[in-house]
Amino acid sequence: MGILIVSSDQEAIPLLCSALGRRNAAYTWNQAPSDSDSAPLVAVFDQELSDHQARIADLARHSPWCRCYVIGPGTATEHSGPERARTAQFIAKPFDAAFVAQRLVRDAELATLERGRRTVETRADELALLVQSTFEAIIGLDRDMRIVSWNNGATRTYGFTPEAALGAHVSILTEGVDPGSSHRRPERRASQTTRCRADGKQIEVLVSRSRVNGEVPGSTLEYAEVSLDITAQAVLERDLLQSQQLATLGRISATMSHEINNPLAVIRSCAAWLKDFADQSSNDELRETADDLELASERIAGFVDQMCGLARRAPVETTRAPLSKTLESALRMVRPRAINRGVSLSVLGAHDSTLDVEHDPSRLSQAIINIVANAIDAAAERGRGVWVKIASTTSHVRIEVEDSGPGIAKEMQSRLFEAFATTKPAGHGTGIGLALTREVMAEHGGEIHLSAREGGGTVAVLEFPVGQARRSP
Amino acid sequence: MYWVKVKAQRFALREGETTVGRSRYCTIVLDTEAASREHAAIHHRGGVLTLTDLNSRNGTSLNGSLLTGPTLLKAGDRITVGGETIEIVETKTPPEGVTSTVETQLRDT
Repeated sequence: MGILIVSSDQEAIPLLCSALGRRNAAYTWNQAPSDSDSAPLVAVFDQELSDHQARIADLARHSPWCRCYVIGPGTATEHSGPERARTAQFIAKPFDAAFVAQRLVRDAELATLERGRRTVETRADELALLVQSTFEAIIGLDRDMRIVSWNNGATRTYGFTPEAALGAHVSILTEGVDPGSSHRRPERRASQTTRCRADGKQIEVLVSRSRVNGEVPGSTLEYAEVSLDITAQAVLERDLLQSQQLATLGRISATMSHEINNPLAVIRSCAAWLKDFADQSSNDELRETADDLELASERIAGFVDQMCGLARRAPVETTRAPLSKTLESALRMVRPRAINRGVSLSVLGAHDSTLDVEHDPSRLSQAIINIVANAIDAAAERGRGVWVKIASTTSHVRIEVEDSGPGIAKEMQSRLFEAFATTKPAGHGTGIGLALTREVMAEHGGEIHLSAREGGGTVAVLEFPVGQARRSP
Repeated sequence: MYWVKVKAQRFALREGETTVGRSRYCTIVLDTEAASREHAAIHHRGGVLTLTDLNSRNGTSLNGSLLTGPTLLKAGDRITVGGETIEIVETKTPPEGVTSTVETQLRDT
């Protein structure tokens, strides 16, 4: 649809219409265009219109590009056309129909161009608004990977202002991120990677990058990248994994303790029976064997209990007993290991261990065994020395275990207390030891600290309150 | 520059269409019953002139012969419409005493 004519003039309009026809212009006279989607671009009205004509003329009001003309005798007066037509140009009768037709066609052509231009502008504005309103970071890159487009989502995600980001290389988003860790080059398919905010904080993002199809004159846009900050979800996932590991550990140890405890009960009752028999027959050699058997099975029972202790919190049975006794029994268990591996194990300040301390002997000894065994394994690699020092104040006991080993790798330090995290070769460590030791210290109201010394060597410190300490007689 | 000479009047031939006929709504109005309301049209584009008869009752003649279809015009041609003669004139500069064209008919309200 182009030109709308609403007029009762039977003299002028036929000539106007035939002139329009010779120019192949699209027009309707006194009727609404059949194509209801397209609004008129040019309209011509009589000064006076009937109600029916006024309704047709109203079409011009709904067309933002419509240019209006009013025709009438002599001079311009008030007319009954649509509001828009009040800004119309007046054409006095009689007029040169051929010339007016020419003018109408030119106006329709200009309006078509204007409508096209405005439509393109509207689409561009819409698109810009869409990109700016998106929560995700949307970044445009040129062929040298310099940032040429940066939306609000990108500012929110990475903390760089558009002024700081535009023109910068995309590597500003990965500065300070260990290239070996999880940084990968983005691809079409979204993948998770680590990036760095302007404030230095590392974030996990889901990112996809694709080559831009087609070219815009004057634009250097080559790649489009969309990324979403998933740090919160990633942390949640890690926590979930850890709790799943602990739950698995719980199930394994429950099964193990069940499978071990049953035959163990048989062994223990046999040992008891053997002891009775040895007493009755006064057989000292048999008696000693039975004692060994009983001791060994108690050790097994203790180990099983500790395994379970990590998963389910069994009530801690503390007694007030000399620390020296617990320490001695623990060291007795690891001494063979030290000898086997050619490591010298020295104990300093043992006289302090005559203190009476409130503790669970079985659990504490397991904790001591764990860290001393770790120290021995480390010292076997380097230096071959382990030193155990006991120190106490009126309120706290402190057990330090120092080794000459190679220390602890940086990336391992943050994971030391995770269940199943181990530095030992596969099949040689369960990763339970330190997690269990921390558990035991927590039960005693104490703490465990690990520090790697410069130039190798590690110090593990167990520290816990003594309760109401007094020297044993 | 092209002109049309009708009786004593001269009109500048604008780009586009110039109509000739009895109707007041033609570019050149001929006050004679022998002419149709809309009789003939001269089309001017880039120095090329074309004469077309607009289905007139009595027809249009060019240099004495009846027009059968759109025909090219040149300076000095004589068109006969309803007994009136229209002459095509070409000049280098506008002559004096020329009747203005219809552009002045459009004005803002």
